[in-house]
Amino acid sequence: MKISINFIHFIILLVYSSIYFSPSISFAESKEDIKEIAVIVNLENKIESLNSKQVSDIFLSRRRTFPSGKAVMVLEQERDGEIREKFFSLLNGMNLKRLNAYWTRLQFSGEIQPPPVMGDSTAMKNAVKNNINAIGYLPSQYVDESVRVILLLK
Amino acid sequence: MKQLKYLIFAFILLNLNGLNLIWINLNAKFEIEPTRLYADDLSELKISGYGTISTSFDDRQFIKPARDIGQSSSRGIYRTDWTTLMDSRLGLQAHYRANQDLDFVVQGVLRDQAYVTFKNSLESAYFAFRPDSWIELRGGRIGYDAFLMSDTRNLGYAYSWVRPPIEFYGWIPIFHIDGADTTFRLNGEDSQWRLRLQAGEQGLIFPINSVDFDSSTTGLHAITISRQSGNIVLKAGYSKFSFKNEFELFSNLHSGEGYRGLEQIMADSTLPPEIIEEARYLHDNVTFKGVNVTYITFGASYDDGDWILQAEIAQSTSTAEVFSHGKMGYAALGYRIRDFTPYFIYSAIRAGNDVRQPLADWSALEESWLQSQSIGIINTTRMDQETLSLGVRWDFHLQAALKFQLDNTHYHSNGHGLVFCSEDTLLNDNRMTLGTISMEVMF
Repeated sequence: MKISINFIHFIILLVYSSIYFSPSISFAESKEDIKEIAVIVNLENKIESLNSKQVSDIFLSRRRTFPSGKAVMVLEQERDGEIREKFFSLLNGMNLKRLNAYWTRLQFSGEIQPPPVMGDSTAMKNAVKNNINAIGYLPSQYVDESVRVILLLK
Repeated sequence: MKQLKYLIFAFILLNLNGLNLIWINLNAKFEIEPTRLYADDLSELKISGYGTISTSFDDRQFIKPARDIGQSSSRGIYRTDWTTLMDSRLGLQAHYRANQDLDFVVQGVLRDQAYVTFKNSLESAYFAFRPDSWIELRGGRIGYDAFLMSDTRNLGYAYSWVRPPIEFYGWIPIFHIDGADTTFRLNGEDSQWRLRLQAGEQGLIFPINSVDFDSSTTGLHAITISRQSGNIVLKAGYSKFSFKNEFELFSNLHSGEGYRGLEQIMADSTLPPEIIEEARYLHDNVTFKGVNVTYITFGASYDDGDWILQAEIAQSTSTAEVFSHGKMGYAALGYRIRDFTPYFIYSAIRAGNDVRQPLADWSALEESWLQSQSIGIINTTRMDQETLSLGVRWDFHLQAALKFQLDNTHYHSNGHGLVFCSEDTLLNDNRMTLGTISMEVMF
């Protein structure tokens, strides 16, 4: 099966036109809604708090367990969304472009696949509420008694 | 901004070399988005990918650069002025997450190779199973993980420069393994350790002097240990394999094809012992079958958001001189200024074997050309060169980046194993300047 290299150019052109002419940022919650980001876990998780470095290591997939040794299931917000941008900016200073390059390496090298992406903050909260190993983040105004906040970023 | 779009599209159209693309609907949009989950079932199927379109210009008429030894010497890569083939590629990946502990991944990469087939283009196809948080098992076709970047060579969007340093990565004939690996992870106080064991086989067909070589391996295994602590990654690796097949041209030299080969000369007790001895040496060192190759590597990278540093050193050994081996290393330094990352790289490789010279006088033999040809082959595959690269990456979009890079390479005489060139050219020292502009996307 011979495949012309020009086919690569053609497909990349289509992909490029798709991403370049599409809105690069879309998000459910508007920018002014996000003042604080809360990192949340399941109520049955015994973790009371984590520091920024520990949470950063978990969300960059460098650490795959809680300090207790239990497996961690990371849940993500929309990849190019405002919440994710704000979260990582407050957490470790990484912007979305650097994050995308970072995850490109992990994802396509087979190191680890990106975490499940939640549709919105309500879905995030429900998923954390229903999965004992889950960790996620959302604007603090979405927090209620169904989840535990282990780090508040402002 | 409008002019910028036109400029970028003019660049893309320049890359459509020879493509009968008459009409492109620039308004056509399609969405390739990760599945967004609203339910508690976290299983999902996700399609994603990456790509590069690139154009390179060089200033040498008789030296043709290549990104790696698996590329074709007979198509556009052999042009003497410019090429779009060297760094352009497209990767597509399907990932199915069955549950938190089980993933299935298939990835294909279209890139210039001597033979672009489904088998060659299938970069990975594996399952990953995590029975516990500290261990992961993978089986199928998996990335080769002996070096810092050996399983990320195609992912241009993931690194700052146009391509991994050719001196370090261009000659490694293994891109993936058909086999299995096990990864162990251990968390320290402020660091994470990872030990990975890989075993399997691989088969890549690439041309040597326009004759194909099936580089299928046997006994391929790799062990790497890495430590991440904040912004610093350290990685050490060891890998070993043997080649399963003989190269056709070498077989002819060994056994003869209508003439006496090296084996017949070795067995001819009427010949002077120094000729017999040299014939035996050439026979044992102009062969691929059964040759043992080892790599020992050490790499480090640092990225604090502003500064990017990366360096690797390695030593490869081979039980036959004809298989390129030696010492190699590189150091790269970059600094982010908003969306721009200027950088420079210095990389070098030094052959592990000296330039071979004739030891005995074969002029009385009818097959005296066997000596010069065998020695010529050994010297042709030697790699002895260094490159200084300057470049800049511009992240102009969340999922796309432009790169411009200038490489100045010094090829030492009898050290041209990483480029396509004539036999006359490789006898001299040569320099080449290569300019590349490329656009990387991920989706």
